[in-house]
Amino acid sequence: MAGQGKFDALTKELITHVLGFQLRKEGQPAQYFKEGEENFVRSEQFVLSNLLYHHCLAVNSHAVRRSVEGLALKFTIHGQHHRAQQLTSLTSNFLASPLFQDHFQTDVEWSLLSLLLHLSNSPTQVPLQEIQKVAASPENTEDELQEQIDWAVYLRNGETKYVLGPEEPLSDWSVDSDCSDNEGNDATQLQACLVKNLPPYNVEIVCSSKQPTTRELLEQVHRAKSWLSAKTHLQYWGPKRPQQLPLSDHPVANVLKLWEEEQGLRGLYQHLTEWEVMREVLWVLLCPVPSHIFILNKKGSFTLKQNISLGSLTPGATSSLLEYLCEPLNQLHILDVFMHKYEFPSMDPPKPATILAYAAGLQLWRHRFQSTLVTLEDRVKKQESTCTLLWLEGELRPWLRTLASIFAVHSTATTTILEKSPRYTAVRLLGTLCEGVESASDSGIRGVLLRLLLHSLRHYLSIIHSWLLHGTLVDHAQEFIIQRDESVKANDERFWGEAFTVSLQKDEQSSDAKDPMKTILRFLSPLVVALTTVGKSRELLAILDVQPLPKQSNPCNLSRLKAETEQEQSLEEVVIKFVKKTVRATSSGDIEEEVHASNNEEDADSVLTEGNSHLTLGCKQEDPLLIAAFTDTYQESHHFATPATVDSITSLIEEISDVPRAISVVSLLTSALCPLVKKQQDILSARLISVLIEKNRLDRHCQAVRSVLLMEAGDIMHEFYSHLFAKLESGDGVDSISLTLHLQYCIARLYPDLAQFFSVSVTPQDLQDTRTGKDIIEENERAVGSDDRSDGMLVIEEMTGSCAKTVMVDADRGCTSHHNNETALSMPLARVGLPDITIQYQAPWPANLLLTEAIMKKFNMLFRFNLSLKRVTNGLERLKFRDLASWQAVIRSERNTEESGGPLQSRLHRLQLLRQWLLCFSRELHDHFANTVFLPYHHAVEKLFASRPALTTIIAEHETLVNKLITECLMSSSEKILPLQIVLNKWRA
Amino acid sequence: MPCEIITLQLGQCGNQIGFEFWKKLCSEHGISPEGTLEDYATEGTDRKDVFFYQADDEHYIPRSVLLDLEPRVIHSIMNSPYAKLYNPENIYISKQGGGAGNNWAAGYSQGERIYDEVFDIIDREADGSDSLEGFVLCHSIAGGTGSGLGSYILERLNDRFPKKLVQTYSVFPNQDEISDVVVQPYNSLLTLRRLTQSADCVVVLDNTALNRIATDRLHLSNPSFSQINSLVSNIMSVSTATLRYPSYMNNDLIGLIAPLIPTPRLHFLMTGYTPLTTDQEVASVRKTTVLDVMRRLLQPKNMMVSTPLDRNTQHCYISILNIIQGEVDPTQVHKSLQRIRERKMAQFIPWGPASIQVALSKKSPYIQSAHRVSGLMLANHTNISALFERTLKQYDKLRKREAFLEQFRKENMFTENLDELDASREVVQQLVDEYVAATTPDYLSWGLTQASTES
Repeated sequence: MAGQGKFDALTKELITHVLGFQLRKEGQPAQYFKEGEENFVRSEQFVLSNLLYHHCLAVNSHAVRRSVEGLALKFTIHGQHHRAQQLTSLTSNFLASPLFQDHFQTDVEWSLLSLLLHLSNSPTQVPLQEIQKVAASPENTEDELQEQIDWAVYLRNGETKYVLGPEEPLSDWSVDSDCSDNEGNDATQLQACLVKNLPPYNVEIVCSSKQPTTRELLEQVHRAKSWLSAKTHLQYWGPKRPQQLPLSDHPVANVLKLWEEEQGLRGLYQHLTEWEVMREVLWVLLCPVPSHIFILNKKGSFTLKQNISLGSLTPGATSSLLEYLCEPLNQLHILDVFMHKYEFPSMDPPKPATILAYAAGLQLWRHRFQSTLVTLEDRVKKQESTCTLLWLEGELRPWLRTLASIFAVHSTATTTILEKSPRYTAVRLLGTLCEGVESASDSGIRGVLLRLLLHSLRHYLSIIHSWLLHGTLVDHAQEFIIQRDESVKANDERFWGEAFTVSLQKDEQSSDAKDPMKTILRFLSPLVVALTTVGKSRELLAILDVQPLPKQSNPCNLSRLKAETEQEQSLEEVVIKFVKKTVRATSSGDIEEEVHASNNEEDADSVLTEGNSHLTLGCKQEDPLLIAAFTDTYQESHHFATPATVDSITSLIEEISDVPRAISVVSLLTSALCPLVKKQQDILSARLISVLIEKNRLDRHCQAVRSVLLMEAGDIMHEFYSHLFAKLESGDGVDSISLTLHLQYCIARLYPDLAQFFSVSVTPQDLQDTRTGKDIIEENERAVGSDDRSDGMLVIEEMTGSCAKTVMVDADRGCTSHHNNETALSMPLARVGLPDITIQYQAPWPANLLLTEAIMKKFNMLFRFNLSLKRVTNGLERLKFRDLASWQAVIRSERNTEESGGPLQSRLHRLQLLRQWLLCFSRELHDHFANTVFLPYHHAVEKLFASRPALTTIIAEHETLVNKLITECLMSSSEKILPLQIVLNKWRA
Repeated sequence: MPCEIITLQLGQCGNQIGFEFWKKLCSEHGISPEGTLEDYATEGTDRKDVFFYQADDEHYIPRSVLLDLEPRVIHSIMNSPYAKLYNPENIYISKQGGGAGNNWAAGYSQGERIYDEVFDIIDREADGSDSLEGFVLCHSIAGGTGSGLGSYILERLNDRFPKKLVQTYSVFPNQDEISDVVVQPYNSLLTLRRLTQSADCVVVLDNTALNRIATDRLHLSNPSFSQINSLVSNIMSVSTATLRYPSYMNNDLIGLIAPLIPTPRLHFLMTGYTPLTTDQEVASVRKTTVLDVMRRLLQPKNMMVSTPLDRNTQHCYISILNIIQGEVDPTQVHKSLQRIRERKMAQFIPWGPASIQVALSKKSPYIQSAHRVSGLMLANHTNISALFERTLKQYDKLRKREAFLEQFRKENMFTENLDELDASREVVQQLVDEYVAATTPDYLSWGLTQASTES
């Protein structure tokens, strides 16, 4: 339809040319032709009806040949052997003319023949003698096709005799029409031609240029008019109401007429043939634009035109027969607009490639549909079999149903396409498609949707592919479900956890009950983890300056590489093949596989060299960055590139047929993708972890932290805390710097290289006091609500810490062993004389991935816990009453206290025993934690590193273990009640 | 370096077991007899600096002082491959060379004479360590040098290093061969007094039990000293294993012994070891659980103290420390302890907590062992008083007849009177009384009726 304007112009030109009319200009005689005159319009209609309805332009050479042969046969039957012979020979001569040989691609000869055939009216009835006139002429006619003749002059010469008004054009028409078939003939040949082709009465007109009577003239006019009207196909959609159809007399065929008469509405309804309607239906389906029958209403949706009906049906019946098409038309229209919009990538704003791929997928389906429609139209057009609207509906129904499904999915998927981020859009699209495939019940529809899904997925797959292979997350349109958070640098400790985010708008998730996002997550989620791991591993390895894959020795390198590239290249393909295979085991893949294998190698090579070869066709489609870079020049080549290269995969996808209900697409995709991604993940993870452990001594860092903060290196920590306690006992203040120095000094013995990363910070005492003051109040409050579970840790701190203190106090005073449990309970750790010490470990990258600040915070909790344990046991172990400064004072005051508490010796003895009790208790606790908490942790971590799992696992496991430590040290607020806690609470009571 | 320990080897016995101990330590730490580190041992995480120090030439030198009043044993050591191991300046042999003649008084009085020279060595050694934790004394209590000189040095150590721990590995005489040294009850009694008053912890190595174990358990028909001594050195090395292989806990000597000793005087520890095998006995590697080991350690037959097996007595454990080496699941420890307590496999004092401590320690990676798990028990058991009672009885028998006292009267200490002996008896008797008292719940108020001797 695009060529309509040109077509019209050409038609007009043809008419003016053939008729010899010229556009009338100023001061020219009246016979100059004026566009828009009735006659011109008529001739135009005639020409168009011939051209459009008889398909002289899109000629079928076989059909023409058959017709010619049939005509010849007819002649023979009619006994006009000579004519038949002549026709055959003329035709063959005509066809053999060198001119056509030179331009075989145009099929002009057949077009001309078919036009001639069409113009010929009942050739067998043409008088024989006139045929003889023709005799030798047609050949020449054709021979001199190219000859330039001034037709206008010639025709004008011939026409001067008739100045008769309306009839004139008629004769002109007839002249014209025969002229059109014999373009480029001279006069005699034209004559012959006319004789041959024109209906007898026309010949009459031409021939009997004597003196016609008025009556004859009128008759002629009438005949001519009726001939013309019979010969002219008026488009029923044209502004002119075409003549009533020549209907059969059978009432069934005239239902509308009868109905109109019955209703008194005669003339209101335009009568259409079923054939017309069918064709229009096919047309609008081919290209959903407003047409004669289907018009747009105010809302912009398709609706049936009023006042139209099939001749054989009442208007109601007609509309009910056609109404079902309106909705699909709307849908098609929307889809077409969508496809058009997303046909080409653009830069500003970038269109998500997923959407583009989806649009391309839609396009493919549309093409299928359209080709079906064209086939149907051909069938209708040929009229070789009986085609009815009902039949058409039956043919269309599966398509329309598919269309409805697609549209349903489409509308869900793309409602938010504009407002939301490309990522959301893409994910939503994929999710909806997934959902669609899963929920569709018809296997055909499932197939269609699956194909769409696979098309749309291709960009994701190619992203995954390049990510897996080259470690770069190329996602220029920001549509991939995983997103690199650029604010997190690779050497940031949050890198592992937060570098890649799976971005989903949370609010969206909650609002939809059946959220498409979830569906896509269902099959992507197992991958997301693996993928991010791969990505992160890649990035880390790149920064660590390590080859992602250990290079093998040369000989096997090549084959290995090849094997890899094959494996690598085919991510999209493998997935699709897998899907295909699963859907239906087809053997046709073999040949293609080979083709692909070769393609892939090329692709892989070019990818691997990563040079200019990027420009080879194979990669273009795959590389969005290049698309971005070469947008201008690219779009053209895109067209050529697409069928050549992409089609390998596209066709693969398109080969997937129906999907039985039994196959879950989600699991299908998962199982297709998972092994590949997992494999890559395994390789990279293993590599990364081995690099991290071997080169960066991840385990060693971890060990160092454990050694210090969990006091696994008992000796050096013993030295540290002994020093600390000694300082505290002597009343010296502690400060960060001296403690740091001392700690580093201690650690240097065990980890000379790591000591520098440790530092100690002490919270100033006054701050601590205010804090603890508040704590005390809180604790007391909590203690009121006795069995409060959350202060489990406090129980320990109180008990152990205060015990030491109590003993110290008791010992200092030398008073008897009865200590006040009440006061002890409310004694917080800091008050017992332990400063609030924090040990920092500035883990160098990449160890900080594991030893994050959060983890170190937890470690510090554990450290302080340990420190308090150590403080107690250490103090008690070292306690010698005789060494205490107050010993002498007590001895001297012996006499004063003798009466109340018994002999000093006895009191001392009891003090000793108390110490023993306390020591035993604290040691018990200490050993309990050591044996059931810290040592198992140690083993668990060692085992963890020894087994060398993925870094993710290590990080996760490690955190779990640390959390477990905290729980088991009664410092978590979890609900689990540990046996120890029960015991302790009993003690407290 | 923290927690250094200086070993003092006194007398024939002390030097012999000390020698075995150092041999053992060297092999466990991968130190060659010359004192250099073996190639395979350079990466160890063990702490050699507790018992060794490093000389400038990378030699590991034991923090050990070898003292004897007669040169025989030390000479044999100096003729062994380990001759170069020791710092020659740390070896002191009395110039007289006559020994103490199995006479406590002779040893003691000679100690007074050689005090300066000996304490020069000890001071130098103490100055050479960063934070000396204490001394370990190896000696026998029945002979002359180990008991007499040992007693003297114990007293002087207490004066000189009042804040340092003094632990002794004291070999108690073999009752089956009492004829060797007839005055051993005197010697033992006098030494026991010093062990009670001046030592912080005494690990009792009972020759009687050791010999029985060697014959009965190890099936050695005529056990040699070296065989017995290897048993002893084994005990010594294991009991210090937690110091040498640092872990989360028990990294200092005080931490090891403090929970074992409730009151200052009840510090006599008995030992038990399992599995008991000789080197010849190459058993297949047996999988042993913590519980197995701990249960076996509680069996009297594995105890290395010859106490009468009288089930009717009230004797009980005051505290237990199990040092378990090998591949142990730490979580099993807790369960094993629970089971032991639940089943009352061990009788504990009625007045205090049933204190069973478990210290897990690594094994030396350089020594192949037939057993995956082995255990040493250090136990404070009131039954140890039986040994002291036996000594008292024997002393009383000798004293009644005033037998062999002239040797003692030769020394200044005893020329005027034998008060020292009486005082010693008193102290040992009190010790026995306290152990007996500790078996009853009344122990809490024990001081009320007891006359004060401590102040």
